[in-house]
Amino acid sequence: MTTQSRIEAVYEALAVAIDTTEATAGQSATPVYLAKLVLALAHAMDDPAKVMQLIDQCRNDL
Amino acid sequence: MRPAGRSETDSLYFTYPQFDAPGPDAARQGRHRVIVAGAGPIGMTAALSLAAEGVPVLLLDRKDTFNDGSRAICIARSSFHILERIGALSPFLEKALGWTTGRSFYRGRQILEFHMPDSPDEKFRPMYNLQQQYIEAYLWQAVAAHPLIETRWQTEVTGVSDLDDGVTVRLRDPAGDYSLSADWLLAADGARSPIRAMRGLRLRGANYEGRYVIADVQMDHDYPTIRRALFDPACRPGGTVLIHRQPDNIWRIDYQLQEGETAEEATREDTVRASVAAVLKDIGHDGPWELEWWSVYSANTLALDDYRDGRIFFVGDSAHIVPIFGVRGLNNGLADAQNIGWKLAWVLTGRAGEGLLDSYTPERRGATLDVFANATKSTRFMTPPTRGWQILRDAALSLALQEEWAGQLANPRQMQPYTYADSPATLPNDQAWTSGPVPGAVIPSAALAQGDFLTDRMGRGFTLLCFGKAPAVTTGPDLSVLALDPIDHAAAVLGATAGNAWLIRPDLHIAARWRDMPSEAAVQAAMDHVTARQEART
Repeated sequence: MTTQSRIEAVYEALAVAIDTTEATAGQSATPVYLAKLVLALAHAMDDPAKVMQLIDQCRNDL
Repeated sequence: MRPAGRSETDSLYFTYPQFDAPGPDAARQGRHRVIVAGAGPIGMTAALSLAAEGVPVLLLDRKDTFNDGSRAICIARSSFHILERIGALSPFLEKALGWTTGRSFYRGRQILEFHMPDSPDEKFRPMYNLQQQYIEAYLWQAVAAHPLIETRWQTEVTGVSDLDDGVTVRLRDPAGDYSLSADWLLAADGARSPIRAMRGLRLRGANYEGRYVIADVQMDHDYPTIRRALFDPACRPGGTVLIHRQPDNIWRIDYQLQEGETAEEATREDTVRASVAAVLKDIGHDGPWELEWWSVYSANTLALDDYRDGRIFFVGDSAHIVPIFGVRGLNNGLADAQNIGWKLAWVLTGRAGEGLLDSYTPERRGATLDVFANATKSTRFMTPPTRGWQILRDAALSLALQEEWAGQLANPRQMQPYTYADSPATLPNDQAWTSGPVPGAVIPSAALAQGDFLTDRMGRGFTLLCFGKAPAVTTGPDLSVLALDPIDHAAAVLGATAGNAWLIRPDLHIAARWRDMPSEAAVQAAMDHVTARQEART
């Protein structure tokens, strides 16, 4: 699986997960779900400096 | 639709011909080998494919001119090979605008530049832009000049009934109603196919919510032939805009309808003019422009379960409707037309058994399902169907402003030729091969030392392409042999070594391959299998 296809798989899974989350717990659950996911990924990544950098970077261009 | 005061065929740059209804010498009874219903690009390509193999065709269309408007404008490289095989290529090469590059922008900033595969080994560019009325006009030049094709304009199919060995087609023209029979009927009568409805057949699949207006404007605009996609532009907040250059200073602008906007509102002339003006301002065009034509569409992935119904084959949009993102509708239809064209011709001229026709649906419906898989991804990005897809799309676009990899998510995945794996009209792949094009794939293009290309050397029928000394096989119209030196550049392109051989079908798809030079018996056995000839002989 190429890097691109791995990202596409994540993109698709996350889109479906958000729709499923909203169908079962409502739209207000989405920010919590996404924040929870980020925390879990940050823990799995085990690179606090990179996580902090991405937290800042992703606030741009919203 | 066109601006007030202009008819549907009153174009700024194209003169639509007026075709007469059949004259008194047109036979109003009798039997034909093949009737093709629909003289659009797909019907004409099917007719030319059949006629090229010596099969007479009666081509019908209820209109008295070409389809109005530019419609399908992107012709893929694979389609140029088809146009070349049916003898219609020359005017396309002269007029169409070749392109390789696309750029995507988010809120006015570029997030992606993609380049479609291209190299000196390719005879044609990966994509060409040309308005559909030119496509039809150039195909018509070839159709009108072909002695084996009779065309009847202003002739509508009003009914179809089955015979044991054919179909009866009821027709209506200005002189009245009559019936003709045919061995086979090709329904190339478009997305709203009357023949499909008459047979009680339905397309199945998905409809997407997002709707687009497509508008053509004529203007002097200094930008190369590069496809532009604008996401969340100032002119259309939250929406998407696509811009394509066409010949004759015509520019195609596709823009998404805004939430809550109806198709009726969006296609009013004043609304279209205001929307187009906003897009042009966004891309920095402050000169004059004229509105040429516009229409509206929604993205669908719909197909028949079976492209054959008795003695009727459905071809092009009558068999499937695909989203335009990735330019697959016309190109997929042209491949349908070529596929059924050569197969039916071989059956009708006694060179193949009717079993060959059984490969049409699996090959072409398989291609459509492959198109659906790719087009669905593109469509979800262009017009996110739910909040989940919308959030991800917006996140990807925002991230793409800083991260190049995220921009790749906006890549529209242009059409690639489909590999007919597991088709009854190909042989199974020899698993001992570890590289090179497999059975079912299109033979790759390769530049030859003499200045021509590998595809230029393919025969009208099957071609045995071998590297090294050619085997002693009987050649003729059905089979030609092309022997190349194993040190030729083409060998490198195919990953071939001395003794390797490929059997290429008339549509340039690979039927079989051998690691060691095949005997004549092996080649004939392969052709017998692919063409179902054994069945025809027994």
